[in-house]
Amino acid sequence: MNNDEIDQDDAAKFVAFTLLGQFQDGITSRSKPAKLFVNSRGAQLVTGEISLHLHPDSISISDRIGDTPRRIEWNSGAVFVTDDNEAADQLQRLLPGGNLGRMAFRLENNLTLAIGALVLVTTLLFAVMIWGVPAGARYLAAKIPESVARHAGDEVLQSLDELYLEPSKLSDDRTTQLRSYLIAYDSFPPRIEFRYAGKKLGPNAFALPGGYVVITDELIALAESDEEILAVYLHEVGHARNYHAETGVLANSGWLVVLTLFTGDISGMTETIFALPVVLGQLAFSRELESEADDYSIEKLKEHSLDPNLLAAILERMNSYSLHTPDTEDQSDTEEGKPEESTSSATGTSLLDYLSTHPSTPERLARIRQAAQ
Amino acid sequence: MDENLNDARGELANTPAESSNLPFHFNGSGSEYFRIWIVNILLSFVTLGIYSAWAKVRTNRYLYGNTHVADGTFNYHAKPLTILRGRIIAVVLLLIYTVAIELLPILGLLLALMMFIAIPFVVVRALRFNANMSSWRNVRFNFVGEAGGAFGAYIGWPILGMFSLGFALPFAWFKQAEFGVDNHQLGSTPFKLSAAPKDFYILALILFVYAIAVMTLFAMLTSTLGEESLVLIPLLLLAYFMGFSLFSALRFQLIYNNLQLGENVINNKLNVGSYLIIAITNGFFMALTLGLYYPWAKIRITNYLIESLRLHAVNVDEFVNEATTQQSAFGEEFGEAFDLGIGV
Repeated sequence: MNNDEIDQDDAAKFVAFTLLGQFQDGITSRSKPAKLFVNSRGAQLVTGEISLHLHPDSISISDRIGDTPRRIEWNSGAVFVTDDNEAADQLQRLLPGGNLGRMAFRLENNLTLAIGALVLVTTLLFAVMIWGVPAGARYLAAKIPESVARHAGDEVLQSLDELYLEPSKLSDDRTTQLRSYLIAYDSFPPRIEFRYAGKKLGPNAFALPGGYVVITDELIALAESDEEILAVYLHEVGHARNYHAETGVLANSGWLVVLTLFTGDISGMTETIFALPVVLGQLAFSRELESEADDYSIEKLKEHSLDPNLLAAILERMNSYSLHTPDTEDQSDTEEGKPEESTSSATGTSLLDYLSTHPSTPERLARIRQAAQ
Repeated sequence: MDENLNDARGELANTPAESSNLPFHFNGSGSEYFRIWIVNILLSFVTLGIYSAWAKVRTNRYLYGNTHVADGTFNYHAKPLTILRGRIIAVVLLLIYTVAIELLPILGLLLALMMFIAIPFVVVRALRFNANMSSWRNVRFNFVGEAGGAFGAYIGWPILGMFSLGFALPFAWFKQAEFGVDNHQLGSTPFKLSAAPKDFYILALILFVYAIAVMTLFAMLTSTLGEESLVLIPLLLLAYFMGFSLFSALRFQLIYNNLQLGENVINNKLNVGSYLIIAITNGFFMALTLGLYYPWAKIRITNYLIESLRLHAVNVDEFVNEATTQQSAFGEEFGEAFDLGIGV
């Protein structure tokens, strides 16, 4: 019996309302039916055995969440649990705090707001995944210290060498001559590497972090002139100059982190709803990078009074090579230099377009040829 | 007022007699949960993820608070700020890890190895945190397992399971379930798994028969369809999903039919067919709505699982609360960020 002395008559004047519920002392799991009389000075808890006065400063009430029972707790660790959410709301208003919880409940309780939230969430999600992450990645990629980027490039090239590439079979004279020829047009990437790729990668070129440009023997064999090699080289320099490889790495991490942050409490299959904007963002972004690299090549070729159709010609030949060699991966690839799924389709329908990492070859050729005029 | 109080005491004096076979109830509703879910996502977005800690607490409190048995409600007690702190550390580690593995593969490998070593510690801390933050009738759950046991259950036995061509795998499942269940307590009263390894072998046998049946069927279909076989891919995915759901249902059935809490016994009336129908229709509607159906799916399956449970109560009034210490949510959040899939 722990009955604080209060003036019962006085209290009666202020009794505002009564809550029905269960009393649980937090010592054992016993649960007792109880009533809570609330007045302006506090609350009076009554069970079959005890009557307890609770000072307003000593009690706290849980936020309303749907129609779940409310908990009125006090210092001793005991609790009064009630299903009467309306009365509990009334009590909460008498106590300090609870604003965040009330706001959340007001939002949750309103269907119009919920639907508004849904529309807003979807829009935000697409905006962040399609524009936000790529923009952030571009910004940060330019800020990576060169030594770190170079080291990363070394590592990637090393693992590519182990997995896909062999030393170039070209003569030293030929590589020396090509290297100085290419550098004369654009000396940005400090390192040009030649490799023999074999059937799997075939004619290919790619930019790696730290300014690496790798060109395969097969590409050199496929080119009808050194100027065509130059056109592809300039495309890769376009990637390298704009830190596309680093950007790709950062964007991939960015998408993952955003996904983790925003789906923290939403597990399992829901991720399908979040995966869609990520996939669309990834595809759109890598297509954007390809077009940017094409534009750089076109511009440089024009600058040196060379025909941008050179790029179109070699791309077309690379494309038909990959089409005629089943199981062959893509042509000029950037990102981490990982050969990704084959992308170019001869017909290039618009839906497939959306789902490819490079713009379809016909689309690219059309752009280049238009620029050539 | 005096009279009022006395009346109240009189009315409240009699605790209703407890029947010994008590059903669990779940009162959540899909539309209510949808509104909570979507507001959670919205606020998490506009606060750049900070609200996600509050979101997690509200979600858990909604699910726990709607679960009742024997006139007692479950409750989730974690404080959003605790969750947030753990979550920030975990996300920073995840960020470092993903960047490292892409830029410096060697360092990434080292980090991966360190993570592997950390798993048992993380698992134990996560389980303890979740248990301590959960209560029934204001008595907290507890988890008393140690990292050594977690190493056996989550790494040692599963590896042995793989090396034995899968023959020891059901035994690894048993060890995992036993580690999870036997180390949990309500207050000071321990849970006990009364299942035997042989039950898990029966479960594995059912799954094996299912897999053989599916493979035979698909082999036959492939040979008749020839080049058109690609159309079978969605069906194959469905078969895989069904196999997975079958496993979940059988495992739930097995554990919750062999569960003791002190002298009290928990069992269930789960019907595997009904469970599969719910799981498959949930998956179908999720795909159809690009995931928007999730809140209803979650409520449907939770409702079915919880309402299948029964408590054969001998004495549920005498569980004694134990003092629990303040804890960080790091283990739990780390496990979630790295998708370790900790669960019991």
